[in-house]
Amino acid sequence: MAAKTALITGGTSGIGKATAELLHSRGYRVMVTGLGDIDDAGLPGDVIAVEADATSLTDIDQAVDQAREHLGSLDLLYLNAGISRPGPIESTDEAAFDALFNINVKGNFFTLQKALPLLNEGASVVFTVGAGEGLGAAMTASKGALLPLVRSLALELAPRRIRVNAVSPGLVNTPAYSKMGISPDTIASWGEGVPLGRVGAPADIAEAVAFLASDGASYITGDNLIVSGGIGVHTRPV
Amino acid sequence: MDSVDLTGRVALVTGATSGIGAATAALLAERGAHVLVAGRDAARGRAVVTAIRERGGKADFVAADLRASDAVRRLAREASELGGGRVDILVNNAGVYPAGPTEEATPIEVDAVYDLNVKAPFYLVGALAPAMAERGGGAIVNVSTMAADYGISGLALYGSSKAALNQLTRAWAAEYGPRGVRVNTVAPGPTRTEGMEGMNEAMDAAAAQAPAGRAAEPEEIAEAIAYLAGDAAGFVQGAHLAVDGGRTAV
Repeated sequence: MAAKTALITGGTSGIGKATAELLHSRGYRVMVTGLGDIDDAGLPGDVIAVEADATSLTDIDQAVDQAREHLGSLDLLYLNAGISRPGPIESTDEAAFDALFNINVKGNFFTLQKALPLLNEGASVVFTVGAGEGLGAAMTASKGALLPLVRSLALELAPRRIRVNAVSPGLVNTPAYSKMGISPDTIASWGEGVPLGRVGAPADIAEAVAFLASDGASYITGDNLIVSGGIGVHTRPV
Repeated sequence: MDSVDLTGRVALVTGATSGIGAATAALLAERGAHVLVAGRDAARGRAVVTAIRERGGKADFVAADLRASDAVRRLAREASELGGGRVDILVNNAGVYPAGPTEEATPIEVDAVYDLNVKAPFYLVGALAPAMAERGGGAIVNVSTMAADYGISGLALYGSSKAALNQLTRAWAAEYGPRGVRVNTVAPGPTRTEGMEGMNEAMDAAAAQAPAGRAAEPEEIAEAIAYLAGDAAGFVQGAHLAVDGGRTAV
């Protein structure tokens, strides 16, 4: 059987990188997109990394062309690229609002549109959502907008047996927090509020993506798999 | 694939003599777990155990009719003994799924549904989760239904009993999570099991409403249960995983 293929956006650090490493270890041929230091990402040598800005439709086009060239077709498209602009409504300016929706919604939407011809029958599309309230209304809305998008696309792509799902991480220890200047001790202390008593690791989310990409998830579509250690069980609606 | 390996774990699967339960028992055993196959029908239960053993797996049958609370406690005790003093994974799969007009359900039928679909998991978790917590961890998977997530005419009794089970998942996730026990729900859509024989038309009609346009095989539900039972789902807690071909999404 030919090796499965995966394109992971935002795959040079954190959750995307952990997913690239896990799938690579399971025999996938993997390509990731990222910004900036993509050659220093520390990914396995045969994982292809290409630079792509998720706000640029030209970059997206070029990344998908590279995927066609290197991978041929796709068994998994993991739309993980996204940005955080946390903050209360008073301090969310138009530039922050536009950046959130340009990357989290528009960028992911058009990446999928461009990649559609590459998706194999029975392929899996996964979005990273995880729209925790408390991070800021615009940020939560830009991620939350993906859920109806996932459900609509599950219906729209079902005739090709393409499954479309979301993974919603809770608090996960990624480099994004250290970039914001948050100390490791502070991050670890957040675990006290999590029913399982710890913050998540990027590998925890990678495993969920790998499951949704696998044949074992062949009847799962339109779903949002929450990987939060139990955050939200107190309040989450059914 | 270390994260899916269940070698050394003891898994108790209720209602495991057929359908989703039997498929789950087979898959957990294939991944290395010692599976305790619980059910009422000894002949079918032994057939499930024999099939697992013939493929090199480890399994034992435990006779149990979970409609009585003393039987639930007995099952917990016998399962722990057979498991060498432990049960690491509990799959609450046993259930009944009657359909019919609300006004025609008798008090005996209503009690029977709630006894098996709600009270049996409740007492079983009460009997097994504290010991899981003492050992530092465990995994519980409750098998529910999409019929608990939206209104279906004729499924008031069944759907409401499974909605209660969904709430037990969330409550137990909060209650036992801090002591290392993970509790999650799998909510299947229409699934081709022995128990659905003779209801193929209704099942196909239900399946046609989902984006996938077909019913599930029991093995597809078992895969989701096995994922939630294993270390790959180590940070998944209180989740509701719909395995319904997209039905509840649209």
